[in-house]
Amino acid sequence: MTESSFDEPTAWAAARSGDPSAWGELFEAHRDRVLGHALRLTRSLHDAEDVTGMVFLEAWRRRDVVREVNGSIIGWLLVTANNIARNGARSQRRFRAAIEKLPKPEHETDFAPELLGRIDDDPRHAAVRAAFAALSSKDQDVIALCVLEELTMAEAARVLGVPLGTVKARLSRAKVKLAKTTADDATLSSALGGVR
Amino acid sequence: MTDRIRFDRERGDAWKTVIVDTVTAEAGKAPGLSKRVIALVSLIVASLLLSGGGVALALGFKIFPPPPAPVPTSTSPAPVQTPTPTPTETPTAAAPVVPPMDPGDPSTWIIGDGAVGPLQLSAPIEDAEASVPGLTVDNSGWCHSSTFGDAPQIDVIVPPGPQPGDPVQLIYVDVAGGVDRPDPAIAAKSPKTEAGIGVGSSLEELQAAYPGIQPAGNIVEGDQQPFYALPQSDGSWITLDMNADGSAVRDIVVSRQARTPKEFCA
Repeated sequence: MTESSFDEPTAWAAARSGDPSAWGELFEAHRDRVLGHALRLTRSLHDAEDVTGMVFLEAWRRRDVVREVNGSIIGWLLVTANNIARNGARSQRRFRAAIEKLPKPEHETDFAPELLGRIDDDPRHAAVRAAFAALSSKDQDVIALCVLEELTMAEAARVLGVPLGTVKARLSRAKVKLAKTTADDATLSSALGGVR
Repeated sequence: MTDRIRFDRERGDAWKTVIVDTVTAEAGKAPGLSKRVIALVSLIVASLLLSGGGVALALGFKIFPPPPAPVPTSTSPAPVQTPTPTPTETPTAAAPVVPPMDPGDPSTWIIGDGAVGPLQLSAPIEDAEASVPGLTVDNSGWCHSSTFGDAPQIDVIVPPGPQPGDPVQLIYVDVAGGVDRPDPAIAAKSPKTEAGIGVGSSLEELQAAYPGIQPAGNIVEGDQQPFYALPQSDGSWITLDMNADGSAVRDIVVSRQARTPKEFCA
């Protein structure tokens, strides 16, 4: 689960101690993967980018409790993306001062519509988002980690801070729920093919 | 499925700058400061306990700074020294504790019974707007908010209900920018409950003010960040959301629910 060519444990140790450049490195290393996950939870690239940025601010704010698993914090970042997307306006308010420093997203007026349209028009994306949104928050976390991001159940257990048996039980329950949801939907069934 | 989606370069750079700047601004400040504050509070508590304990000393703590003057003045009469200064000092000490409420100074506001200072639950939003300087519609386009100084400073947010013309739905107090544990100087400007708890109050202060209080749950289900809920005589609630490590009050909400709604201002 570690990203390719940077020494994440060293970067994370530096980041925890307040090294700004280490936070820059962590952001560079994980932002696209967190963004990809955030796009499953939001309806626009712009929202997904903001969720991603807020995930890293939250990681800074909560650096003492971030869980590093197999030398990476990616699992914690993904679960935090779930929480931030769920808490929408509240998270935005928490980080309002930071968000207000950002330039207005000019790409919304140029290439973004094409991209956003592609995301929203993609039936697989919409279907996965709908099925994912119908799950409970705990089921969302375990599906995000074990199915969508392909962490092992043991890694997911460490990220979530719960026993392995709990992850197994939640995953099994979540798969049953998704199977019911997808039963009449061939597109969704294909998008979540690995779930059953 | 979204593997080919990449962060927009400009937006990505902007977010990176915000993150790096945030860390630069806050690094080495928050954790060290919290520990210092905790140590200071512990020292004060310890000194109070050691020097006799209880309310008498707490009062003595306030009264004694001026006493050097009164004590020598009390000429010869032998009776106990305290009776003479005490009655004279008590009114003086009591007066500043309850300053008159100033709509422009949230540190003078009391939180309780469906209100935060001049702001009242269920009041027309226009009344709220009229009662607090600078309370105007914020960038959510829906809520009214006012920050008392340049951020980070105490921030009051007043969302109306979901329909046009709905009255005040809740009153939210935090530090602008979602500071996890504000500087004591900022925390001192927070409105407070009658027991003296405001944004930035420590867990120890909360437990001392409300003995036996227990967390009412976690702010986010499955997370470990607790909140506390105080029922009010008018049926409203004061919700105290704790910060990331549960050591201090991060925001305070007055509403008709026993927990802060996940969504408002939207």
